[in-house]
This record gives sequence, structure tokens and C-alpha cells, in this order.
Amino acid sequence: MTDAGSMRRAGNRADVARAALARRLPRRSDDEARRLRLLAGVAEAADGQFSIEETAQRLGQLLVPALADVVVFDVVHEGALRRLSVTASGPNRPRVEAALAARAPTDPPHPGPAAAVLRGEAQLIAPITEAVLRASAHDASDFAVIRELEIRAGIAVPLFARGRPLGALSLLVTGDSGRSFSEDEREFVEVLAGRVALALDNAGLFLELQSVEAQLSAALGSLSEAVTIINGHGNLIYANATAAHLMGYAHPRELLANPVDAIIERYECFHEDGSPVDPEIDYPGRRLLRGEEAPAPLVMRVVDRETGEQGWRAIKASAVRDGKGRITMVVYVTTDISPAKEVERTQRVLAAAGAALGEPRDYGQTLEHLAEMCVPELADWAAVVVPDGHGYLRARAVASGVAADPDLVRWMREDHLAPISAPFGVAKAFREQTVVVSHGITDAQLMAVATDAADLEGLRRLGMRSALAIPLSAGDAQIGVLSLINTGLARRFTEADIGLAKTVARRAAGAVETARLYTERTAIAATLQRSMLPDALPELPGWDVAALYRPAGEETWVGGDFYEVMRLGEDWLLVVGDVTGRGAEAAALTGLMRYTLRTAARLTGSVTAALTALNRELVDRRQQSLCTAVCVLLRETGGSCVAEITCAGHPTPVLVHDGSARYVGRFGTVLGAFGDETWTPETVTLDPGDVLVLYSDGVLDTVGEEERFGAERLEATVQTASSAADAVERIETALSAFAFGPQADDTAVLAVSCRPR
Amino acid sequence: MRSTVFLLDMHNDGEAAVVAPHGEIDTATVGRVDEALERSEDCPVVVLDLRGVTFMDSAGLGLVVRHRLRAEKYGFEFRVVPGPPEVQRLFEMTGLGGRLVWVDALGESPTDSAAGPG
Repeated sequence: MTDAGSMRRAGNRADVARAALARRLPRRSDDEARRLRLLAGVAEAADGQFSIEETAQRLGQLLVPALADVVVFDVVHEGALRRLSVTASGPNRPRVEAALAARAPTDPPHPGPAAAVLRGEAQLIAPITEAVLRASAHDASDFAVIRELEIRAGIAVPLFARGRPLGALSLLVTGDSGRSFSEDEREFVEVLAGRVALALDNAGLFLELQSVEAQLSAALGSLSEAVTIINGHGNLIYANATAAHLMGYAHPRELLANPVDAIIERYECFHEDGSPVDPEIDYPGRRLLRGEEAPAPLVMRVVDRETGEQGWRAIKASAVRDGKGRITMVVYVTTDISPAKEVERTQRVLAAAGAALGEPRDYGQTLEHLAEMCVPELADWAAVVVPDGHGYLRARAVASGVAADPDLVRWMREDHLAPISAPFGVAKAFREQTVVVSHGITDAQLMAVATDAADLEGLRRLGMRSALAIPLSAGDAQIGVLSLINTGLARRFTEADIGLAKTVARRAAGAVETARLYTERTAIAATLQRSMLPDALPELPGWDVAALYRPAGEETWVGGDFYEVMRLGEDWLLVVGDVTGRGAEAAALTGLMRYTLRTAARLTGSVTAALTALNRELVDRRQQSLCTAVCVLLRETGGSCVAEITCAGHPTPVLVHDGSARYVGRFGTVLGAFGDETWTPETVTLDPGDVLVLYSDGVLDTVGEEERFGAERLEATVQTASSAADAVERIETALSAFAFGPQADDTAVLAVSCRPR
Repeated sequence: MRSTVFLLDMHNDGEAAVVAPHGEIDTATVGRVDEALERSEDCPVVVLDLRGVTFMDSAGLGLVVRHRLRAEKYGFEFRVVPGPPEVQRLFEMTGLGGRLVWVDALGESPTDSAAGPG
């Protein structure tokens, strides 16, 4: 239309015109009175209580027919003029109003409202001739329309308020009124226009105010947070669409129809730690009313008592206060944080599962951990039930997330049995290896699974409302069932609960099975390890014997080292052996080696023959089976003690004699490598007080901070040993002091000393 | 501190494959040497170079015995370059020294000088 500068100039020009008129007013008294009434009327219409359309209507009725036959208001709207109202008089009023209301204002440069706004000054068009009409018409049909209206003259005045163009006021004279507009009239109309503009501006401000409210309301309405407003009397006076939906209503109207207490009562609410929320105490709005300045948001888990649906909410409240600081309204903003909480819960449960199930544990412990990690995140109660071998499922682990009666926990843990043949629940889950979800559990169902009256009483006291049974199986092993139970409340198992519980159960099943095997293996390993060693060293007349056995790592790792002391005819055979490898296979090989050696030695009476037999047996094994052994046959001949030493791939023993130590015996080939090997013993004489130390390579290979223990250190350790027991003790002490980091290999030491006589 | 770094050098020119472990051969590392030797078996000559080996226990012993037996079974030649004295002592102690084909660093000229007294 025009630029802001020219508009401001136009506004100033209107002020100048108003001043000019004021100077002339006293001169024409009739007109003065009429004009003053008009101005007063316009001022009245300017009090801003009406909408801009209503104000225009009122102004039109004021000015028609007092000042003109037809009054038209046009307003600036989005850079163009929009027709606001048309007021006409006379018999043709409806036709004129309809025709002009429908007509777009005449385009500039032809005189008219648009030109008036554009130029910033009133346009007087008098007379309006057919030529003027033709020029002003938009097209032929428009020309026909305006020609029909018999408009004879017109004034179009721009309307300015606060320096900005609002629109234009047009006064028209039609054919039958006989009035005309003079220059003087134009000046008055300009003054009038100033007042009219003020009236419309006030109406516009009012409109803007209304629209701010409407916009606020629209903004609140479209928020993804639920907004509710409660007034000073505790009544719910506003709710947006999100609030309505969050509480299960289609429209805020329906929500507003409910009393606040009924809305609160509908939900059972819990703090994050599982304790119940007391609305009177915990709601941030109530805390505001009690005088707290800025109560922290309340995060709570809500369970809909009607539907059993569960969700998480964060509730903030802020106060709207009057001039005296009294709270007139409390605005609640409630956010549905269920999705975030769900993700958080999933991560927390899975992290707990990972931590609890990640490390090898005892079977029973693993089951307890599984039950514990499920409450209260997944359910109020969790139990792991396993078949008892007599047709029942029995709880091996129980955890309660609700403050449960200890007697009830004890009953569940110790007394409650579920027949595997029962048609539903854990029994069905176990039998059919399928997830079983039960909602709305009835007393009849309890009666069907109860094993006796006491069991039924327990089930009833438990108050099971819904249950989720998930089979635990690893591979072909059907371990049992993870049983999740919700009591008391209406909390249902959601899809998310079921999905998460299944994931936990799947992960747990592997860990449970591992734990079972681990427990089993620990028992086997302990048994095996015990079997690898003599129960107690036998009494050897004339000899002192001492031994040390340190298995590497945990007890479950059956080592490959062993020692043995056995009678062979009149003599004694001492053996320290070592098989390569670790674990169950090494244990099996150790067993084979020990018993073959023992049997062959007893049968043949010869150490070398026994080694040859053992070697054959080992070579014939499908799997490479390498073993080393040092065998010492102790015999007394003619008052002196003799040791016959045979080494098969084994480090040679140390002989301690008179404060010095040396390695004795000769190296022989390892057992189990080549089928055609033979071994030759070396004989040494033992004086009374001499100590012979047999050991496994674990002693020499013991890792220290800088290097390994080694043969020289062993020599130095035992060279002053006074007896077998002393030698063993010195080695143990030295190894403990030397060792750095975890022990890598088994260590076996067997020492024998010739008793002084 | 003892170094526990373990590296494996491999060289294969189609005629001879050389596997040269550096570090300790024990239960933790023996699998890698074993695998490397097995992958070299398409060569007529497989050489285990022990010069870089600082320690070897019965696991390494089993490894050598195994490949010595495989060479016999599958018809390739298995040669060993002697390691430092600590390593050689194990061969001596277990009587395996005399059962192996020892070669010098070039991996070509068979010697038995490294077999030791065992």
C-alpha cells in the first residue's frame, strides 16, 4: 500500500486539519451541535468493549443517516483493504449493503478508500459521474452493480491510530437524499476519522487481548504436557487435550465434569522406591498451598485402578497469586514419562541381570539373584520354581518387592508346592515350555492348584491378582519357571513387562544352567582333586616324609600334578608326576597315569617296567597325552639307605647332604611321546639326615617379579634343610615370598629324609 | 619386570616355512604357535625357530612332540632352531633333544650340536 513514512506524514496532516476545524467551529452553530453529538457518540463507541466488527457497526449506525446515506468501513488486513462493514439507509438499504459488502474497494489510483490510505489524505469525489464510475469499476459487471447504486458523491478518509494505518472510512451520498459534500464537510470528516480510528483501535486492542487469550489457550491445548488448573476452591477449572487423554477421556469437557478427588482416587500412585504416594502430602500443588515456595516435581508410578494400566508421571505445580500474594490457582503440568522410564527400567533390569548373572556363582545363589532382580521392577513378587522330582514345582528362590509378611515369604519358600499337572500358571509354563500370562485370577483357580487347605490359605493370603510364568530353559535343560506375581493392586503385566521378563529369563537361564554345572563341577573337581592325592602320607619305618601340594587358580581347576607314596614289595615307591594340560581332561589323564603306574609297578615290581607300560598306554591314546614323572624307590640294604631315581621327562630331584644341595638322577624321555622309549634308574646312597626333594616343574617355573624361581634358587632354598618337613616348609615359604601375581601352575613337592639311627 | 609380550614371526617361501615365536610359550600362547605351525604344513619343510623364546613349559613340549609326530604322519620335515639354554634344558630334561632335527639359524643345514647331552 504505502511506506511507513508517508503514513506518519498523513497522520500529522490529519492533526493539522483537526486544528483548522477547531478554529472554524464557532462560526456555524447548527452544524456545530450536530457534529459535536457525532463526535461524542464516536467517543462513546471507542470505549473498547466491543469487537472491531461490532464497533464498526455501531459507528455506521451513528453516522447514517446523520452524516451520509451509506458508511463503509475498510480495514487494513495483510497488506490490503478488507471490507469490514457497510451501513446504508433508505428503502434500498439491504440491496446497497449487500452489494457494497461484497465489493472489493476501488483500486488506486482511482479515488476511493484504498487511494485515501495510500496517500494518507481524504479523497473527496463529488460529483460521481458515470465516467468516474466506469473508471472505478473493476470490470463490466462491477460497473453495472455500482451504477445501480446511484452513488452521487463520496468522501474516503484514511484511519490512523498510533501512527499506523488501520483502514478507511467512506461516506457516500446516494441519488435520492439530495445531500452533497463540501470541502468543509471533508475537514470535519477528517477530524471524525481521528476519533473513529481511536474507537476501532481500542476495539482492535481488545481483540488482540482476546486473541492473546485464545492463543494461550490454543498453545496450552496443543502442549504435549498435560496442563490442568485448579482454582482456589480446589475445583478443576481447566484441562487441555493432553490432560484429558492422559486420564482416559476423549475431551477436556469430560475430564472437567469429574470432581478432583474422583480423578485422584482413580489411580494408585507410588514413589520411585515403591512406597505409596499420599496425594494430600506429596502432590506439589498441596505443598504449594502449605506454603512451600517451589516444591520439587513429583515423579510417580501410577496404576489405573480400573484398567490396571501402569505408567510413570512427572508432576510440576506452580501457583498463580493475586495482588496480596494469595494463591488463586494452581497450574499442574503433568508429563507422561512412561517411555523414558520404560527405557530406564529396561536398562536397569538388564544391567542388574548382567551384573548378577555375569559371574559364576553357586546355583542357589544365582536363582536368588534372578528373583531379586525382578522386584519391584517387574512385579510385586518373584519366585523361581523348579521341579522337586516328585511331580511338583517348588520355590528355590523367593523375592518380594512389597512389604510382605515374613510368614507368607516363608510359606512360599518352604511350604508351597504347585502340582506340575495343574492346568495353568507355572505348571502349564513348565509343561508346555511357554509363557503363561494370567490376569484376574479367581478363587476357583486358586482352589484348583492348592495342594491342601493350608496351601489354599497361603494362596489366598498372597492375594495374587495377576501372574506371569516364564519357562527357564538352557538348551535341552528345563530348569524351572520364573514366576512373577502381582498382588493387592490391579497392576497388570504389560507387553513391556512380558518382553523384559522374557529377556531376563533367557539371560538368567544360561547363567542358572552354568551355575548348576559350575556347582556340579566344583563338587566333581573337589572329589577328583581329593582322589589325586593320598588321603594321608603313610608311615614309613625309618623314613620321614613330607609333602606340599598347591593347585593353581581356583579349586575347580583340577591340576595335573600329583604325588604318591606306595609300598612296593619290601620297598617304598615315591612318585611326583605331572600331566600337560589342565581341567577335567588333565584330571582324567592324571587318574589314568597314577593308577596305571601303581598297578604296573605292583604287577611287575619294577619302576622301569611300570614306566614302559604307562608310556605304551599313553602313546596309544587317541589324544596326545604327555606326562612326566620322577620315581624314587627307597630301599634299605645292609644298613644303608639307597634311592633308585628314575626321571621321565621330569626335573631331577635335589639331594641335601651335609648342608649342601645337588641335583641327582639322570634325565629320561617324557611319557606318552614315543612308543619305543626305555628308562634307566640312577642309584644314590642316602646317609642318615640326608633329604631328597622331589618336585614338579611348577616349583621352578613359579613367576617372580623379575624372573622365575629356577633350579639354583631351589638348591639354595633347601641346602640347609634338616628334615623332609623342614625342606617342604622352606620351599613353601620361599615360593610364597617369591611369587608375583597369580600362581600359573600346580606345585607339588615330596621330600623324604633318612632318619638318623 | 618380566616381559610378557608374545609375538609370532612367520615366513613362508613355498619351500620352507619358518615360525618364530618371541616370548614365553605356555598354555596362554601355545595355541597361536600350534595354529601357525599347522598352517605351514603345506610346505615340505617346517621350521620352528626357538631363538626368541624366553620360557617354555610342558605346553611347549607337547607342541613340539605333536608337530614332530605330525611330520612323520603327513610326510613333511619338521626342524627346530635351538632356543636359549633355559629352553634347551627342557629338551634335555625330557629326552626330546635326540628325537628332533636341529638346524642352525638359516634353517637349512641340519646339525645335531644343539641336541644337548639329553
